[in-house]
Amino acid sequence: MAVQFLASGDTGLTVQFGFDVDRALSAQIMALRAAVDDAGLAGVIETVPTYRSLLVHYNPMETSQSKLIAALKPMIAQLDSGKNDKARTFSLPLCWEGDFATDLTHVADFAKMSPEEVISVITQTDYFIYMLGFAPGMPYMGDLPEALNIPRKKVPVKRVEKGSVMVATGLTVIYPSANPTGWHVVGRCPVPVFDLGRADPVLLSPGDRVRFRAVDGAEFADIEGRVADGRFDLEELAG
Amino acid sequence: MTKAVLEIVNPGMMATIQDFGRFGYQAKGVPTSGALDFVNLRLANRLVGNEEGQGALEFRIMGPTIRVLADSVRIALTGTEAVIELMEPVAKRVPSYQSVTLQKGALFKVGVTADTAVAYLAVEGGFDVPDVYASQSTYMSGGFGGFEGRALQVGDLLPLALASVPDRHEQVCDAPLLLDSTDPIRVVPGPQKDYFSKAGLKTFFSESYVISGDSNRMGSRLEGAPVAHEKGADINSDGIVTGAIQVPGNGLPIVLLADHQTTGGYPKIGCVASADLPRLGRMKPGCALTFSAVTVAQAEKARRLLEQQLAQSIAAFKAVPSEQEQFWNHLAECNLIDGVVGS
Repeated sequence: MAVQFLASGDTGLTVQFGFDVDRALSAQIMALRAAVDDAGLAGVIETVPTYRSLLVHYNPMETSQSKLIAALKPMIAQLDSGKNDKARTFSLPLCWEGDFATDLTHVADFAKMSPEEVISVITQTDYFIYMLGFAPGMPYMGDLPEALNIPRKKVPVKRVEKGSVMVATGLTVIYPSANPTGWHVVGRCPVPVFDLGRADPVLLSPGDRVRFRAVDGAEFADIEGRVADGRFDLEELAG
Repeated sequence: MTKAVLEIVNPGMMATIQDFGRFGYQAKGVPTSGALDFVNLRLANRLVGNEEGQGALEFRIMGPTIRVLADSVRIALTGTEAVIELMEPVAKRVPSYQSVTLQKGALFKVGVTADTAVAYLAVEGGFDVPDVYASQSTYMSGGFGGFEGRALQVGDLLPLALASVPDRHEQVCDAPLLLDSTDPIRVVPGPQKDYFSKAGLKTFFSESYVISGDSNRMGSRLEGAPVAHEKGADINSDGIVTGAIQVPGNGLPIVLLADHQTTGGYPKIGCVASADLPRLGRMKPGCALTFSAVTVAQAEKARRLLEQQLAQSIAAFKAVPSEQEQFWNHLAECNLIDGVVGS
């Protein structure tokens, strides 16, 4: 489909590329994001990529929707969606022992797999971060194979713990803090995706890649302990 | 040396530090936060000689009671007909939209704000709290920004950037922007207006809605006629601006305010024109409101007009004569001086 320019009031321009969760779409959105950020257009405050669109936040006292559209059109015509120089790859620990994976059996039943097979699929998936949202630092990552496309729970649970790794609708998220959820918990990550103690509290960015590595309870406790007292080096996550 | 702080004797309701907000981090899922009423934030700051976007205390409906533990502090209250009630060392009332300097030991309170949902108390020099992501705004759900990432509590010692303030004339704003019209709130339709039926759009732009008590800095929930969808109430997530109006499955619109999440999965019927965000921010639960559709160009023009009015309001600030000057002025008005001289 053709790119659409949709008004988000007089402070936002939504550049819509499509409607679906789709990597090719996302690559175009990320490429436009890089182009807009590099161009340093007057009045542009920031850009937010999502599955379907790039939202350009602007100051209406410094630019206007019509000026922005005029500046964006040639950028969109020349998009180079092949490169994302800023993308990084992370190897994140995932523990599914004990009570960390409260919904793993349910997910396994849905997928007609054993819990071990589900974890095997999850740890062999190269995740792509489409966007961050819901809470500071929370990544929406895809894509799981079809067999694991479990819908969200009909009745959300009131609280799951910080670090919970959860799946639903073919996507995976990691909770930055304890919150209610309708997603299915399949494990826990001991490295926080949001930590105010770090120079940059937010660990991941849209466009980055993630691969999970299964760890046992002892390694989980070790990493968690080192994170807590500031001895954990993020370099360890280089994938 | 005692610390330059304000002691919170009673925090009032939901008192948080807010500035213009936290920009540049929404792609990381970090909400902007910021003042619900940027007009009164700016007026309060200018009255005490600050940059317009300095962090000030925003509170909701019920004001704080505060003891001054700095050598001196200059403050100004905006956004309300309520007054600063000085209790110690002397009982005195200072109107809103006027700065006043208080000395160490002074105790004052701001009562109930009958006329507005949020009001602002600015201090000269601002508060000495750290920037988190380049802003002092408190984001309570995330537990960061402002004073320890939360609303103020009894006994908090809120640090000030200045231990004392220079002696100079106080300022008064004779023409604050009251924004008290009952005109419809202007809304630019979209980005997902096509998710609603014609009847749904007509409902939204013709019915009257009431702000629910279940509203906060994240959003105002509206009660009234449900808006009919045409393509369902779920979308793959899309970005959100402050003032975006989501309509979830029950058809009742939610206007997203400063603490809104950065992305969301409900279709948005429209977004409030930025010029009307301060007026919306002032509306208390129980307020009725209607919406009218405007184009982006109209919304951009409305914002420029609001900025002009705000600049005029600030340009019209006047110096408040000192008490000694007021005494001599009063004598002169009564013609007593001439009388004495002439006798």
